[in-house]
Amino acid sequence: MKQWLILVSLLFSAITVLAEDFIVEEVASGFNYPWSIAFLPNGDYLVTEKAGGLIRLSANGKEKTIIKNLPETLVKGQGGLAEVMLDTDFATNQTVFITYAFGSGTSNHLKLISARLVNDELIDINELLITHPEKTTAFHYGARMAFLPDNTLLVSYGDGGSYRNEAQKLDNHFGKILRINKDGSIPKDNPFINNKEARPEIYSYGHRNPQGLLVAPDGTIWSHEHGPKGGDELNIVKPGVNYGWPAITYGIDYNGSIISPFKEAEGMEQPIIYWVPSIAPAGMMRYDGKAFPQWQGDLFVSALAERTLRRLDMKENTVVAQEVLLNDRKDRLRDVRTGPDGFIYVLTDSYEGKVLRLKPKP
Amino acid sequence: MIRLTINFIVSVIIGSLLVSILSTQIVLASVSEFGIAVDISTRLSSTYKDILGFGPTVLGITFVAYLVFFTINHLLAKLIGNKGNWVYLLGSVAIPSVLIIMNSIFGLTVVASTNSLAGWFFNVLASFCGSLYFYQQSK
Repeated sequence: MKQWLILVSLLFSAITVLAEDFIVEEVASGFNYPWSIAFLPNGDYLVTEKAGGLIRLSANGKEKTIIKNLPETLVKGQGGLAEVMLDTDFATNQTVFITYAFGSGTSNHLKLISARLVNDELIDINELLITHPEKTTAFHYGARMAFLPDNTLLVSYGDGGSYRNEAQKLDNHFGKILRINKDGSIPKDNPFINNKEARPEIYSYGHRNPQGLLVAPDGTIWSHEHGPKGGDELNIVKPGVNYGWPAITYGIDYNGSIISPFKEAEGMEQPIIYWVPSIAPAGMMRYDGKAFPQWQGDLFVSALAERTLRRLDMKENTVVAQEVLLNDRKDRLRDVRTGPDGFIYVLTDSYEGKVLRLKPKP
Repeated sequence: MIRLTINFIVSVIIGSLLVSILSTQIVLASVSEFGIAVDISTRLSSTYKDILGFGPTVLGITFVAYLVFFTINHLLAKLIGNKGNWVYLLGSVAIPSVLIIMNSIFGLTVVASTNSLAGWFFNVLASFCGSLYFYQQSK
């Protein structure tokens, strides 16, 4: 019996090893809840720490330099320093875009700034967007960004936790994906720009807490968002569309009560897929690198609660299968990106957070 | 003592049921405001689901609320020597008080109905009804 059990275990291990065609390296560690990673042209990395630090990590992962002159961030609850993203023209203008929680525990917003990164310091800081109205909670900031092909900027903003009904109204920023120009002005073709009762920055609405946002090469905008207890969603974002929260949802409230008896309604967009139970999706990328040709075009979702990296096998805009990766590590995973080297970079969500790199097996 | 215990348990059940039922109606009212019609069958099934799903949470909240406030009431009555009608005032704020404390601890609204004035009114009403039963039966 014992020999049989050993044989079965060995066989299972072999299957597991064969199924994983990558190795995981630890690039660096010791980050205080790392939230986002960006790649500088010289091979260095920029990493944000939710606790309020913007760090330049050397290409070899051994040196950390704190970027100076970062604006004051509200670090409370889910709020803190969030995303850093390089301008599409960074090589020329050294401009980065940063989102962060701003204000006090009882009166706060999400702020989006641009700045030039020169000699490890932020200069020429411009405030591009402050979400309105203020909120009294430190939850659901959204805070992911993505560029559209026309160089306008999308930024996600959550429902603040206690303002879920506001996600259905157009007179505020709660539960919205917003679109602005790089200088903070409003694009003339925003879907609600001619609606005097709507905030002109709104691109789509009816979201809960979107923390995945990317634009595919064909221009498709992908977003995922945290659901409540169950009901995390993956969506294709279209201008002016209502994504239904909280009028329709596949989840229930954490206290066991319903949020809505409806999972669908006319005029409200259905997700491409949803997850029940929740996986807590926190980052997303579309793989377009060369290191893993078998994964070209697939979406990757980093998950906090599930502690996994999910690969969504894509056929056009349909998820045909899902593969769970990194589940043996038991790390909460915050962000996932493709590096310029074609490898996959993942941030673990911990006060001793790590930058991990997935490379093909030699 | 047994009678008092039974009265207490029944009052907790009454208060909890009312909080759950009324909270469901608040949530459904919001959904209707979004332009989605809620028919009677959906209303009944939602209310039932909440009693099953939300009920245990509310039971716990109400149990703690009434235990604390009825005890305070008892001690005050000993001190002052006459219960009077303020008993019902204390009973009315029992459940809402615990909800306020929970909202403060968690940093956001723990029960969605407390996002609106109507929700708070219904929580006060539910708390009052449960405590009314207790004090009427305990006379």
